Parts: sequence; C-alpha cells; structure tokens
Amino acid sequence: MITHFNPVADLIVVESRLWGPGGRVRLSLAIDTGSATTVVAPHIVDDLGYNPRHGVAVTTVRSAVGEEHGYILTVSRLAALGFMISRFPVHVFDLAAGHGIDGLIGLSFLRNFDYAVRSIVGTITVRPAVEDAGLE
Amino acid sequence: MTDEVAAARLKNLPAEIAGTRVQREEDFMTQARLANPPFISEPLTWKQICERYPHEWVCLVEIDSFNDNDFGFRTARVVGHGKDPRDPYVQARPVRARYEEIGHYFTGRARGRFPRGR
Repeated sequence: MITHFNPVADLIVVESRLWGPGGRVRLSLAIDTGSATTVVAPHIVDDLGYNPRHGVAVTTVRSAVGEEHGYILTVSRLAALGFMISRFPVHVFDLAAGHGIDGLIGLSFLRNFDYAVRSIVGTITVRPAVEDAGLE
Repeated sequence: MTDEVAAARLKNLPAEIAGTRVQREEDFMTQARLANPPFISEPLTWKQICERYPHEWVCLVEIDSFNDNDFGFRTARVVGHGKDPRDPYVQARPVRARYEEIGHYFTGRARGRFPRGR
C-alpha cells in the first residue's frame, strides 16, 4: 500500500481516520519514528465522544514549559497508511499550538508494518510486518 | 408606576420581576436556531478553502475523496473554521449529528518540534 505526502513540507503528514462513539473523524497525523506512542490531540477524541474517564492510564510528558499530563485511551479503530487497527491505544496529549497537526503516528502503530519512506517523491510504502498481526 | 409594575402587583408578584419574560425553552431554542443558522459553505476545493481561511483550522464534511488513503479530495464543505484547533469543532456542533464523518485540517504549513515522553 502506497501513501502520498507532501515532500516539501516540514513534516511527513498523512491523512488518518479515528473512530469513536460519536462517529469518525479524518485528521492529519505526522509520522514520527522518534515517538514510542501514537499521539492524538484531546479535542479530536472529545468530538468523538470519548473523555478522560475512558482512559486507562494517566501520563506525564516533559516539555519546554514543564510537565504536562495526558492519558492513554483505547480507541475503537485507527486507520492510516492504508491499514486499520482495532482497539488501539493512543496517547491523548495536547501538542503545543502551531504545529498544524492533530497528533503523531508513533512506533506503537508503525511497528506493525515494514515501511519505506521515499522523501524525494513523497511516498510511504507499507506492508504488514506479520500477516496475522491482528489487522482487519 | 409602569404598566409592567402595575401588572406584577395585580398578580401579587414582587415588583422586581416586572418586565421579566417567561418563555418556553423549546420556543427559545427554535428562535436561537433561526437567529444563528448553522454555518455550512458551498462545496470548495482545498485550494479555495486555503484561500478563504488561510492559516486556520477547518472542519469539513461531504468530503469527495479521490481515495480512502491519501489526503486529496475534489471538494468539501466547510462547517467551522478558526485559529484554535477547537474553534471549528465548536462551530460544527449544530450540524455534527447530521454527519457520521467530519474532517479536521489546518490550511497552513505543518511545522514544529514534538515533545518527548519520559
């Protein structure tokens, strides 16, 4: 599966879909192999009908302005790069304003795949790392 | 003595509430909807959306996508926009129940450094 991105943009941003009790939302997530978790901004999950009470753990992130708190939430489905994962844990955390993205696709999502990034042409080629990795 | 105060006294009500208006909640909400109809644009291309709402967050519905994987689409309708990521969601609330899917995008360039977890 090949996904296209803007090769001259500062970040590798791909379209993703997130499902929740209130429907689904299309959002822009940046590919970030330096992030262990997949991060989604709180206003996205709020609009889908989730709230912090659905969270399974409270998290702390150190940033330039100090410690900030988020939480881990298991969303019903997340689709990106042409694949969908059900019951997927995401890190709900408010990224600093000005990034222009709704979150990050981290290794928690990417490790389910083999992927190749072609920065010049702006494509990511993805195939499942394991055929029965729980993908739909 | 105003007519309203006189009317309140006749009803054995305190003069302070003269002039207050009792209204059915349903009527009030209907009037509010008519006064502030939900915002929804005509179908626009991404280029038109970026020109109309530069460097803003937008919520889109009726997205006519080229495919299910990439970002590109032919046209979409804007149901909310603003400088803060939450702004378009607030504006889109009146029409949110009408659409199963809504898109949330930034019309400027994505940039920045990411915070790192412990």
